[in-house]
Amino acid sequence: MLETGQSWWLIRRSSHLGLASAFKVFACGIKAFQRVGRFVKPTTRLMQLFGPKATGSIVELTVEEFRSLAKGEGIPSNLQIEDGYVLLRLNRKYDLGLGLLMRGVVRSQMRKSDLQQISI
Amino acid sequence: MSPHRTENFDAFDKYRDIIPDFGLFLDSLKQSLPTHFRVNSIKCDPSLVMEKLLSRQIPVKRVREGDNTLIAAPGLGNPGKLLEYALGYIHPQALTSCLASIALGVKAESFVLDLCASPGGKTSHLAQLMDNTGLVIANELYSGRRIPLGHTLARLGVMNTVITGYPAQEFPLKHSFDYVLADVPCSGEGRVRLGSPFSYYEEKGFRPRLLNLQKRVILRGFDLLKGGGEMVYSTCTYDPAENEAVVQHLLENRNADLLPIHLGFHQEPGLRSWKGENYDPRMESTVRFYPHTVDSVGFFMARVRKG
Repeated sequence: MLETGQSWWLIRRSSHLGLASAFKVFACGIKAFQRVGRFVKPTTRLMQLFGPKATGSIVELTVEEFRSLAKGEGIPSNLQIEDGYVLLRLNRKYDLGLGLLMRGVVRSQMRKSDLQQISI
Repeated sequence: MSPHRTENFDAFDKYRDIIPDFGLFLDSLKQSLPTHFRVNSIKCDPSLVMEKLLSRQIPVKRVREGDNTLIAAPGLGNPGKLLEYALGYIHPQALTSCLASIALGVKAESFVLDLCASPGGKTSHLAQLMDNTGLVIANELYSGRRIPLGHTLARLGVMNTVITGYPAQEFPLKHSFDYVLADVPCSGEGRVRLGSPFSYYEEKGFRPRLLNLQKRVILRGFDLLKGGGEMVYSTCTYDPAENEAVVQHLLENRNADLLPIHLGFHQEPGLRSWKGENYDPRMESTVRFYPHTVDSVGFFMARVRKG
């Protein structure tokens, strides 16, 4: 993992990786985390890649709940965990990305335009 | 460069003598480009994706026997609306564009350079073919084009790639690569189809600079190879001045070999001559793809090895 400013990037280990230091690099691997205020926020792309390995903080969504989130609405959640970031999982199999649980309501942290484009 | 819409395909008449079944070729230009996409095995099991799409009555079919990743979706308007697109399971990409990365024959754990990487379809395909291992340097000069490149790579879960921003023809000679992909800027004739935004365009004054750029990029790409390394030079145009003539320039200036290309789709060999200019006999190892035989974007490829 590489840190730049307020972001952390995850890149696959490789014997060639040291060679990349010879170049001016604009991005590497995927952006995994970024600092937002005093919090460190995982990215949706990280969540999609590693979601299958998640063992907690998972919000299971129905299609109707997904559609509500895509409209920017919050959905109630009974998850007995602290407020914070959660993994949004659709139909028990698709790891969509990042949500935020605050006081029993989950909202999507994904770009609304990305969600609204999806036709389910 | 501003493409303008036109349904006048007279500009292609100059290729009447080199494109087989020219009448069928012109007819194919009057058809819309079919929808193709690539299933991204970095993030999903391609056979499961096919099953899922078919179960939702989305008509999809493999375009090559034994390959679950290259898919035709006739009648599917916009794959970008599918959940599978948002999740990075699929990527809309012309069939011939996919063939460039396949032709390069990259292996896992190798060191690869994509000299003109944006918007990232071929780069991400290289990463997929490498099982997301090794290292790909994805080079894109223009900052505005690095943004969609980054988005594509992120959406598709590519973790073995870094993005640089050098002029391709001046990419630093600091290290040598196992493989180089030089999918160069070109006049884009191969993308001209009815209703496409890439109907024929021509910009005076640009052409000499383009040809010079292509020659400089192919030389730089070759110079960046390790001994025994391989490069694919590709364009989506029919113009021999941007294709065979550029490869000829390489053969005249470097100790390069041309390797055969066999991808399981109908292809024509590279030209031996054009407008009085004769090319090296090895040019027959280069390949041309035409829309009336592969039903995709017109394409040219040369596979080069450094001795």
